[in-house]
Amino acid sequence: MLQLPAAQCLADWFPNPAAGNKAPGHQEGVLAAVPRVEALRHLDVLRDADLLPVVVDVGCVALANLFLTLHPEACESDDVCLVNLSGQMADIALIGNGQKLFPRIVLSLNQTWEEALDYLKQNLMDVIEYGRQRLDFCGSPRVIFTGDVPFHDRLDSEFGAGLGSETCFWNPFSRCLRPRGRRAAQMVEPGAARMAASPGIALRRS
Amino acid sequence: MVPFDLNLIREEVPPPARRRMTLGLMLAYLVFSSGVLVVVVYGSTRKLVAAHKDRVDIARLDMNFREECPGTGDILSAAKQLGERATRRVETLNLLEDTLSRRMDLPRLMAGIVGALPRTATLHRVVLDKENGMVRFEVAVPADAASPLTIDVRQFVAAWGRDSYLAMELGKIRPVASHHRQIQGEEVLVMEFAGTLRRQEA
Repeated sequence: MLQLPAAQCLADWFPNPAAGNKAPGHQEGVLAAVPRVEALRHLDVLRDADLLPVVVDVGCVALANLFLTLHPEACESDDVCLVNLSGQMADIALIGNGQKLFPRIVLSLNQTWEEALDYLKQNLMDVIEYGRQRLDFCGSPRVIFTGDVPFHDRLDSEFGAGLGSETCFWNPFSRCLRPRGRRAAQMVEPGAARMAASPGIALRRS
Repeated sequence: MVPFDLNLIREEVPPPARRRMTLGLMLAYLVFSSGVLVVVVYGSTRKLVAAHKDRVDIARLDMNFREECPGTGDILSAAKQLGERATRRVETLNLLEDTLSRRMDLPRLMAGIVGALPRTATLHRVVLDKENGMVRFEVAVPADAASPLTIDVRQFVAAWGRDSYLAMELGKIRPVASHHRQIQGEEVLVMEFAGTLRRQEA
């Protein structure tokens, strides 16, 4: 929760069209806001490097855009819950019909995700339940993990039963690149998925 | 087009159309500047080549000059000396021309005097007296033809007064004296006239 005046925030939003037909004048969407000072500090670093930053996106939104670009058919029939794990943060993007998005960020400051599996599982269940009850998502979306997932080989055993959903690991680079050169081979290793949000931002042009 | 369009610095950076326009303008400026630079460099190079060619030509001419005119130094100092000499001569010529323009044209003066005389009269003598600023001349008429009916001195004087050159050079011409004289065995009437010089020669 940001407790700052609006002038000290950078904010943007987009509507969720599929969720806007509940009542006349009622519209739902996603609003993202960050402290202006913090964002501008990062932008100044880029400008000092003679770069021109044109887009500041949120990780889970960029991830959802990348997933929908690479796998548009995956969301046609089922809802999808994308989970991007990094060191202490989990970006969760609940995507419905490829049209509406419910993002959430979960932090684990004292434990690794390997140690906080139950905490992660509980948050995922909360997100899915909230989406089902409040936002008309289905109750059993496919849960797709990406990023730094040390337990990617035992997802079903850890999450399948608890969530009641199909789980899998997704490395966006495995489909984009053929492992010909040494660098390309490194990219398709499971660790390469840590950069999953980056190509999602790279999709943006404005 | 991405499905979820979120940009926290949407208001902070120029929109793509404006960035494209700015980039296009910068590109056009770059092309224009490059063109100008190429033209300037081309012009400068041509001038440098021409200057180098001039230096080579001057060196060759100087060498030829030294071979053909030994002892006169290099071509530039010789040209300078010649220029100074020409300047002095031009000044001399100007002085000469000025002097000549101020000198009396005696043939024209005599032609003016003779032009007014009747056929029987001859110009006998002309004296240019610079010290007194006078011109004296004598008109001889055969004694048998020198009657007042045939010789009218006032007509001479009036005709000389109408002559523009005589009027410019001399004041009023007046008869001074007349007398009979034997010239080559013939008796003639010699009439002496005088006119004051209007200007003194240098």
